[in-house]
Amino acid sequence: MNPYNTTRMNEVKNYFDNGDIHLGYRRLLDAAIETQNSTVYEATLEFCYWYDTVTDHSAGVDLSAHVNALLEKIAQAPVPENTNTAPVLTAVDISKKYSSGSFSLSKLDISLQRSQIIGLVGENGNGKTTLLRLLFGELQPDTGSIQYNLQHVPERASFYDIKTRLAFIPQRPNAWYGSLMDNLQFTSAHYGMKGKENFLWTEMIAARMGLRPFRTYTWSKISSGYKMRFELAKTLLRRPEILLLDEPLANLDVLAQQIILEDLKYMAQSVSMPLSIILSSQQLYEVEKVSEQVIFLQKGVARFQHTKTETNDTTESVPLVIELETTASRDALQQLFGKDNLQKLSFNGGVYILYFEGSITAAEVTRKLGEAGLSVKYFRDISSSSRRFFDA
Amino acid sequence: MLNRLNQYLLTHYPLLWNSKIIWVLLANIIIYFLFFIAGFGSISVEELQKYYSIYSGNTAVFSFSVMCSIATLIFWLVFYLRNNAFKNFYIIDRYHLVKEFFLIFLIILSSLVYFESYYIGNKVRTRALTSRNEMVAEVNTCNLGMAFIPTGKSDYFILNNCNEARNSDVVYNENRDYNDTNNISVSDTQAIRVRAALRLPNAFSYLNYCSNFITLDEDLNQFTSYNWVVVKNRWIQNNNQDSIKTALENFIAVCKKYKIDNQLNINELAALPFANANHSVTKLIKTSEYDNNITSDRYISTYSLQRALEMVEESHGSLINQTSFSTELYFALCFSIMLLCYKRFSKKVFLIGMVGSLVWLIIFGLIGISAHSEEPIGYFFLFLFAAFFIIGISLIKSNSFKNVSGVLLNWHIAMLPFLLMIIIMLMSAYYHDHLSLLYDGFENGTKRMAKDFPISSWVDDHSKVIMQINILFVFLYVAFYFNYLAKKWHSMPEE
Repeated sequence: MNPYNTTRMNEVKNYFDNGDIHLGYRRLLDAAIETQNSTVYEATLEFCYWYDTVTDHSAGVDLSAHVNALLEKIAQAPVPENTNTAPVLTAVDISKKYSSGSFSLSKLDISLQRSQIIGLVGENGNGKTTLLRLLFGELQPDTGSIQYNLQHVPERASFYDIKTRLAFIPQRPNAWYGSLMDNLQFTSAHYGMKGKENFLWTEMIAARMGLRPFRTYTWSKISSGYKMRFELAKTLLRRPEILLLDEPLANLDVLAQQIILEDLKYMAQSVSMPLSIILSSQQLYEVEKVSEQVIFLQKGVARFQHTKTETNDTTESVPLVIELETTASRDALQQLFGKDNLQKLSFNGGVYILYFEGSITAAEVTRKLGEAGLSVKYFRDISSSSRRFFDA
Repeated sequence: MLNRLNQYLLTHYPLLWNSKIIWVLLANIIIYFLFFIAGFGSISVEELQKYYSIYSGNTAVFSFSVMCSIATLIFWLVFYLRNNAFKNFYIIDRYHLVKEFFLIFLIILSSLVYFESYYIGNKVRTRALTSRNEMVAEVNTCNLGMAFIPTGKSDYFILNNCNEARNSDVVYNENRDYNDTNNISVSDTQAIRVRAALRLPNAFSYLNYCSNFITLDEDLNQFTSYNWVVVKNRWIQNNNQDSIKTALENFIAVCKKYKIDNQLNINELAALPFANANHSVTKLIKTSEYDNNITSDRYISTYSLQRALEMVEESHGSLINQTSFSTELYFALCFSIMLLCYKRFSKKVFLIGMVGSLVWLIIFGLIGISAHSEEPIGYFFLFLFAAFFIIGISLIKSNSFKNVSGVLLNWHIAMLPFLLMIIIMLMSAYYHDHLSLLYDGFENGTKRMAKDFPISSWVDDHSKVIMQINILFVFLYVAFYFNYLAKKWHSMPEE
C-alpha cells in the first residue's frame, strides 16, 4: 500500500469510527474513484446499493465491516498519480471594457496552479463574471493574454479542443432535458467511457454527488442544490483540468453550500484527476475557507489579491480587524478598546467592525470582552479576509 | 429489450443515441409499410381507368403523408434537441459533425416521403394485375383491335396513312368544311391538299389506318406501325374476316379485364371493312355511351381503356419518380441545413438569421417586381452570397462580432442550395435572350451558338444532371466545410 492509500484509508476509517458517516461515505467514494479501477468500482457500487438500503446508519453494527472490506479492496488498487505541477492557466495584464455600458475590468494577472482553488469575491457588478468569462474564452480581453497549459490537449489544438477540458458552470446553468442519468451517461460517453465502463464510472460519480436517488429525475423535479450537484457530476465526468464556477453557492441553503465547497476542495485535491478551480461568490468566509488565493474585485479593479501562504508569512504586520456581533453599545466598545489603539469602529445595524492599530491580537480582544462581561454572539478575525474591504 | 438497445446506444454510440435514428427509422419502416399496404389495397381493375396517372387524384394521400411527416419530425425533434454535445464543448471525433449532418439528412428525408410508399404500393399492385409481357400483349391487341373500331374518321384519312403521315404534316380536321372556298386561302396549301384528297374514293379507308391506340415508351415486342399496316391490310385485302373477329374478341377480352364499358358487336365490326370495294369507313362507333355526336347504339369507352393501359404502363416504369425524388432530396437538404444551423449556432443567431431571411426574400421580391426581370435578382443573389461569405469568414478570422458573423454564415448557407440554380438561370438567360438575338440571322443559328459557346450550351443541355450533382455538392460543402466554420465560430469569444 502506498503512503497516499494509507493516509486516505485512515482518514476514511476515522470518519466512520467517529460517527461522521456521511462525510466518511463521501471520502470513501473519493478514494474508490481515485483508483480508476473497474473492480473497485463494482465493489463500491455494491456497497452503495447496500448502504442505500440501510435506513439508520448510526445503528448499523455491520457498517464498519462493510467499510473495512471495501477499504481493503481500494487499498490494493494502485492510484495513478498526476505529478504535473506547472500552472494550468496564466493570465497576464488582462482587461476588458464592454462596448456597451461603462463597466470595465482593469488589468490583472492570474496564475492558476494545478489543484489550486482561487476565490473571486466582490459585490454584484464588480467584474467577477466578466473575469470568469474572459478565462473561459467567452470574452476577448482588450489587453493581455491568457495561456492554457492543459495536459490532455495537444499543443496546436483548436480553441474548441481547449474548451473540452475547461468547464464553466454559470450562475444559472441551462435547463437540461431527459433523465438525469441519461445526461450523465451521454457526457461520459463523449469522454471515452464506453459500455460497462461508462455505466460504472457514471454511477460512481452520481453516487459521489449524492445523485443516486434521482437517477430518473428530470431537471424540473430536482432542487437547486441537486441541480448544482448534477452540474458538478457532469463536470467530473468530463475530467476537466480547469473548472470555473460563477456563484455556485447562490440559491443554496447553508448545509448545501458547505457540502459543495467541501466537494470542490476534495475535487481539487484529487491525486489522479487534480482540478484547478476558480470560483466566484459573495459568501466570503466560505470561499476563503477553501481557496488558496482570493481576489477581491471592486469596480473592476483587483483590490486585494493574496495567497494563504503570503498571509501566514506576514501575520504580524497585518493590522487586526474584528467583526463582532454583540448586544453592547458602541460607547461600551469604545470605552473597552479605546486604549488599545482602536482606530475605527463601524456598525451596520447588525455587526460591528473594529479596526485596530498596533500589536493587539485577536486573543487579547476576546479576553477583554470576556473580562468586561459583554455578551458576544459572533466574533471573527477578518484581518486577512477580504470582508474588511466591504463597508460594515 | 428496447431499453437495453437504448442503453447500448447511449454508452457505445452517443451520436446514434442522441439522433434517435434507430427509432425514427423503425417507426418510418412501419409507416412506410402501412402506406404501402394502403397503396396496394387501393388499386383494383376498376380504379385503373379512373386516373391518368398513379400520381394524380391522390391529394388526400399526399396531405395525410405531409401531416404524418410533420408529426414524426416534431416528435423526433423533441428528443433530438435534448442533448447537444457540440454546444457543450464535449470531445467529439473528427467526423462527428459530418456524421451528425448525415443522420439529420437521412432522418428528414426518410420522414418526408411516406407518400412514395403509397405510390409504390399502387405500382406493385398494378404490376401484379398485369405483368410486363401481358401489358405488351394487351397493348398490341388493343392497337390491332382499334383498327377495326372506327371512333373517328381522321385516323382513316388517306393523308394520314403510314406513308403520307411520315412525309407530310397535313392535319385533317373533321369539323372543318373543306369545300367552303371562302374559308380556304390560296396560301393554305394543307387545306388545298386535304380538299383534293377528300375527292378520292378511298379518302377514308380501313387500309389507311396507321395510328397506335396506345404507344408504349419502350417498344418492347410491340408491332411497329409498319406491322400494323402489313397485318391489318393483309386481312382486309384477303377478306379474312375470321382473323379480324379473333382480333376483336381478344380486344373485348382486354376490355372485360379492365371492366371497360362497351357495347360492341364483333360480327358487325368484322364485316364493316368489307361494306364497299374501297374498304371505306361507313359507320363510326361512339367513344362513350353518352356521346351525342355520333348516332350509333354501339360504343366503347376508349378513354377509359387508354387510361387503364397507361396506368399499367406507368406501373412498369421506375418505382420512384426521378424528378420528384430530386425535389424531395432538395427539400430534405434545405430542412437539414436549417436544423443544422439551429444545432450549431446560438438561438439568438438562428432567430435573427430566420427573420433576416424573410426580409431578404421580400427585398428580392421587390427587386424582381421593379426590374420586371429575373436577372437583377440573380446578380443581387450572387453579390449577397459572396458578401455574406467573405465578411463572415473575415469576422471569424479576426475573432470579432460573433453574432454578426453567425448570422452572415446562416444566410450564406441558406442561399447555397439555390446558388447553382441562379447561375444556371443567369447563363440560360444570357444564352437564350442575348446570344440568340445575335445568331438569329444565321442559318442553323442554334447549332452555331452551341459551337461558339460550348460551355453555355452544355450547361443549358444538362441542367437537370447539374442540379442533381448540386445536391451532392451542397451536402458535402455543408457536411465538411460549413461544419468546420461552425466549429470555429462556436469557439469564438462573444465580444
